[in-house]
Amino acid sequence: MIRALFLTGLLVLPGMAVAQILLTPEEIQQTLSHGPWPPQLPPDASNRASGRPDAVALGRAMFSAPVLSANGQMACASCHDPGQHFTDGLPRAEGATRLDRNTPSLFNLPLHRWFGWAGDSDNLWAQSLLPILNADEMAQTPEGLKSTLQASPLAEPFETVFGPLNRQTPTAVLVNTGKALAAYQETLITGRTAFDRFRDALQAGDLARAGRYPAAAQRGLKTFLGRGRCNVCHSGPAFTNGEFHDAGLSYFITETRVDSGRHGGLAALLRSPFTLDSAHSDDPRRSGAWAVRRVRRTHADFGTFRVPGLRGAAHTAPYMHNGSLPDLAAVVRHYNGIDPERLHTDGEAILAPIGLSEEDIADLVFFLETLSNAR
Amino acid sequence: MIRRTVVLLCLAAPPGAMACDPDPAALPLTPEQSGAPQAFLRPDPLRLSEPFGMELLVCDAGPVSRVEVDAHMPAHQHGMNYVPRVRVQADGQYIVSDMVFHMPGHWRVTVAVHGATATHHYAADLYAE
Repeated sequence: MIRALFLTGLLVLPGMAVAQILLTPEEIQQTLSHGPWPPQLPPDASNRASGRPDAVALGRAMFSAPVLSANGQMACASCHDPGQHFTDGLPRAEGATRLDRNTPSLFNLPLHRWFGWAGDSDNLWAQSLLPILNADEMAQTPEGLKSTLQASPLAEPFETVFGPLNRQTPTAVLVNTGKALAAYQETLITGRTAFDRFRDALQAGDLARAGRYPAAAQRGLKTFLGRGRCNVCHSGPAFTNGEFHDAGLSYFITETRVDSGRHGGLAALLRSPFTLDSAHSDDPRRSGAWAVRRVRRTHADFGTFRVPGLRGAAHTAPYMHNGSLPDLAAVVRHYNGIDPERLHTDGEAILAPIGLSEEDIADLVFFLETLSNAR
Repeated sequence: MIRRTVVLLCLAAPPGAMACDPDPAALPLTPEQSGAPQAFLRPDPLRLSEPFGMELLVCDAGPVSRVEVDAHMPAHQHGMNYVPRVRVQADGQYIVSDMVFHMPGHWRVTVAVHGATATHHYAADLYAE
C-alpha cells in the first residue's frame, strides 16, 4: 500500500524533483526488491554455536590459525585474506598447488542456500570443513585436527564452547571446528552503500534524498534492470538468486580437464555426511533439509556455477569461477558480447549479446560500484 | 528441451467423487483436453527463490492413483531446481510443497492427474516478481 501510494505520488510531483529520478515506476518497484539492507538474520538452527559471542571469537581465532592445517602453514585467511575482502586477488587460488577456481569472498554467506561455486554444501559449517580436509589445501584429517587442537592455545576456548576435547570423537571435533568457523563467518556482512540510501529513500518517498544518487548510477541501474536483465539472476537484497547458471565461460581448466561445476557439486553434496539432513545438524526439525532432499539433478547442471552476490564485488577482482575476467568492466563486456554458441543448447535461454555502448558499460560499472561503496 | 516431468507419487490418493467447492481465490487450471474434470490451484504468496506451497483441488476425478506437479519458464527453457512434493490432504485435495521459482517472470505450472482410465493434464500461469 505504501509502495502504491508512493508511485502515484511520484507521477504527480513537480518536474524538478522528478527529473532527478530516472527510473520508471516499474523500475522503482524492482529496485525496492534489492533491500532493505542489512537483513535481519536469525541464528543458524543447525549450528548451536551460531550467534554465540564466545564461538564467534573462537571462529575468528581459528580462521587465522595455521595450526588447523597438516603442515601448520596454511590458515583460512591465507586465501580468504581479511585485508582483501576475504579473497586473495588471484585468478585461481594457490593451495599446495594451483587450485581450479577463484577464491570467493566470504561476505553475506548467511543468505546462501548453497555454498561454494558448485554448491558442494547446504550449510556453512560443512562448507568450512572442505578446505581443511582437501589434500590440496589444508590437508588435515579429523584425527590430526583433534590432536593439533588439544595441543594448541585454541583448546581452552574450544572447550568453553563445545566441551572437553577428550570426550569428542575426531569427527565431532571436525564438525565443531566448522561450526565455530561458521559462527565467525556469519558476522561478515557488507555495510550499507550508496545504493541502499537511494533504495531506502525511494521507499520512503524522499525524492530529494534519492536524487543525490548519481545519474550515471541510475542509468546503470536501468540497464541492470532492463536491457541487461542482470536482475533475473542477480535478484533480491544480496543480488543473487543463490542458484546455478551457465555464464558462457570455458569449461576447461586445462586442455585435458574440465570443471563440471554444479554437476560435480551435487554429487559431492549428495555423498556428504554433513548436510542439514544429517545427524550433525543441531536442528531437531531439520528445517533447512528440504533443499538437499528435493534438489533436482539434470545434465544441464554441467558447467553451471552459483550466481555470486554483487554487494562488495568491486573489491573482489578478478571475477567468475575461474577468475578469468580481471575487472567489472570485463565482466560487463563478457555478457555484452556473449557467445551463444558457448551456452548449453538446452540451458538458460535468456543470455544473448546486449549491444551496450561504451557509455552504457561505464554507467553499469558505476552502478555496480555503488553496491560496494558507502559514498 | 523443456522439462515437463516431475514425478510425485500419491499412491494413497483415495478414490471417489467430491463436490467442487474451490476457494474463490483459487486459480482455475486449464485442461489440455476437453472433458477433463475441473481443477483449481491456490498458491501461497510467492517469494522469489524461496520455497512455497500450493493447494490443488481436483473435482470429481474418480479414483486417482498419482498426481504430478512441475513448473517451468517457457521463455527460459528451464524448470525448477527442486522436485516438488505432493501429499493427499483429502478426497481430491492435495498439498504441493517445495516449489521454488528462482527467477522473476512467467512460470507455467503443469499438473497431471492419473486416474483409473485416463490421465488429465492441466496448466496454469504464475508470475514471480
